[in-house]
Amino acid sequence: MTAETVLYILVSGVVLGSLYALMAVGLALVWTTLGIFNFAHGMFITLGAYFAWTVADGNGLGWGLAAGIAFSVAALAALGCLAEAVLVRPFLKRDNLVLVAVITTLAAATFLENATLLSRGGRSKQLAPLAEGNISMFGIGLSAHEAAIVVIAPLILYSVWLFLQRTRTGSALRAIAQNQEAALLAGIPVARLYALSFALAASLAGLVGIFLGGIKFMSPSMGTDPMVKALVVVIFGGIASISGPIRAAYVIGLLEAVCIYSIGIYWTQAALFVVMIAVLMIRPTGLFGGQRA
Amino acid sequence: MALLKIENLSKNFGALKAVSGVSFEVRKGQIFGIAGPNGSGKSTLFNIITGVPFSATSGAVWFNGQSISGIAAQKICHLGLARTYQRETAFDSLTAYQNIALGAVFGPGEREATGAATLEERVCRAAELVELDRARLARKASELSIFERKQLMLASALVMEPKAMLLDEPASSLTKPEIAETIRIIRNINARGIAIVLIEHVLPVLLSLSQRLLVLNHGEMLRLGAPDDVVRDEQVIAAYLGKRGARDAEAA
Ligand SMILES: Nc1ncnc2c1ncn2[C@@H]1O[C@H](COP(=O)(O)OP(=O)(O)OP(=O)(O)O)[C@@H](O)[C@H]1O
Ligand SMILES: [Mg+2]
Repeated sequence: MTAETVLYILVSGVVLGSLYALMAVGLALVWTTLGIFNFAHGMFITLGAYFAWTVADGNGLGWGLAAGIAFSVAALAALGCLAEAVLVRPFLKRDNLVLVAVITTLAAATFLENATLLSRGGRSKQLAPLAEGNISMFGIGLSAHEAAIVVIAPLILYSVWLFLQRTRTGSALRAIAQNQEAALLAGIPVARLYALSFALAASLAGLVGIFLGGIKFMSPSMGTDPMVKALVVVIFGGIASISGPIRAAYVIGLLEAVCIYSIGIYWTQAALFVVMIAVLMIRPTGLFGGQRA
Repeated sequence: MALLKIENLSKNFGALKAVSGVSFEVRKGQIFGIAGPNGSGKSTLFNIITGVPFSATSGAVWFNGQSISGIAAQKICHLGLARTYQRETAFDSLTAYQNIALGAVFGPGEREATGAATLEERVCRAAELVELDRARLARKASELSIFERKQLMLASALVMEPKAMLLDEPASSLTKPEIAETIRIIRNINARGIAIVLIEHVLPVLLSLSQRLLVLNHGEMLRLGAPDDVVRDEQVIAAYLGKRGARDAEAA
């Protein structure tokens, strides 16, 4: 293996890791605050790409990528609030909330996927890249778009981390994740923060969609695979803190890049699951998980 | 007028009557003690007074002249009612400071926060009142000792500027000196005009603080009255104190 190959694997691993991290943080946030897994999360990715395309692309409104991103992120935040209000809130008091949420979010995902297919058609679309051209570094070529992802993703993740650690609302979200009863009696508006965590997760997923849409062709089911990966990441990293899934995302991204190179894309998914199961057998709370947050 | 009025409150878990027909009143600034054997429904009573995590099967709770049965859980503290838990409960990954600050920010609701005090002043004042070492505020709650976690729980409740606090076994699993300090802290809190409902197994705490004492047994009111009379009650001795406990109570 040449140094270029190693570097190439490393870079593609970091690109993947960046996308998974943005996904996983949102999933983990909803998971810890509401205690449910949101299967519509993958659709937030798809819609992020399609909303941005509709506003940005010449075949849509043609307002350019910046406007597309701004609209898409805002629309996803609103959609996140709506999803929480419709899919989760009516069932909060029920003992089987976790199960009900599986059904409602899966149903919403199916509905949204088909609605996207119907309204936007199957014709292949692609978003403009964040930055044009290629960058060559240390003898390997990398699209400027991917380079931008590698730089922007950590900045976004860091902002989310700062928000959770340093702001009152962030502290309140973490408090809810740890002890909902005590959070309620401390006057924390738990229901409103549920909506907020959904909105935040949806916006982050929307960004992932926008990033992905500049790499490959968009399709109504483009969010499914990243969502599964993000689920692996969350389980793998543990939810003791927000940094668990982020670190795990980069580990999985790198692992995936190595697997794709060495055993081919066909076996990669299976290999990832084998590694995940092995890790969970040794560390049931995940690779970076201590006690629950 | 009663600040807290409990009317015929009951809670059933299936066939189990955890709390059954409990009524009492707590006046403004009063310390009201509650005792009773394990499983007699003391903690459940606190749960159904606040409605978190479950509400009463029947009965009514009045606070400050207003019925609070069925009120939204996060509004309870806005009315001026706060509680602590039997087990040291805190937001573990947050610092002690952040724990108290959450109560200061969200706890008072629309009510005026005291004067022009900054958030930091309010947090520090609450910590001071419960004698929690200021240097410990930067620590994660999970790193504090049991006693410090109990102090933290009191400070988090106190910072919401409640009119009444429900304290569930504040002295359990503490050493003698810590218990003495806890008594002093509760006195200081009470001296600010805050009414206290105090569940406790540690008799000296109960007897040195309470103005009224209620003994529960199997979820029912066994006896309610002046502490001295209650601990001499035959039924209370038989059901809860035992002969030896009665002698200890006499000594305390
Ligand atoms: N959520 C619940 N579901 C079912 N039963 C419960 C629940 N909570 C409490 N109980 C039962 O209600 C009864 C009263 O419990 P509670 O915790 O109120 O007692 P307690 O007086 O606080 O006891 P202790 O002194 O040990 O703290 C017990 O029999 C307990 O098992
Ligand atoms: Mg109890």
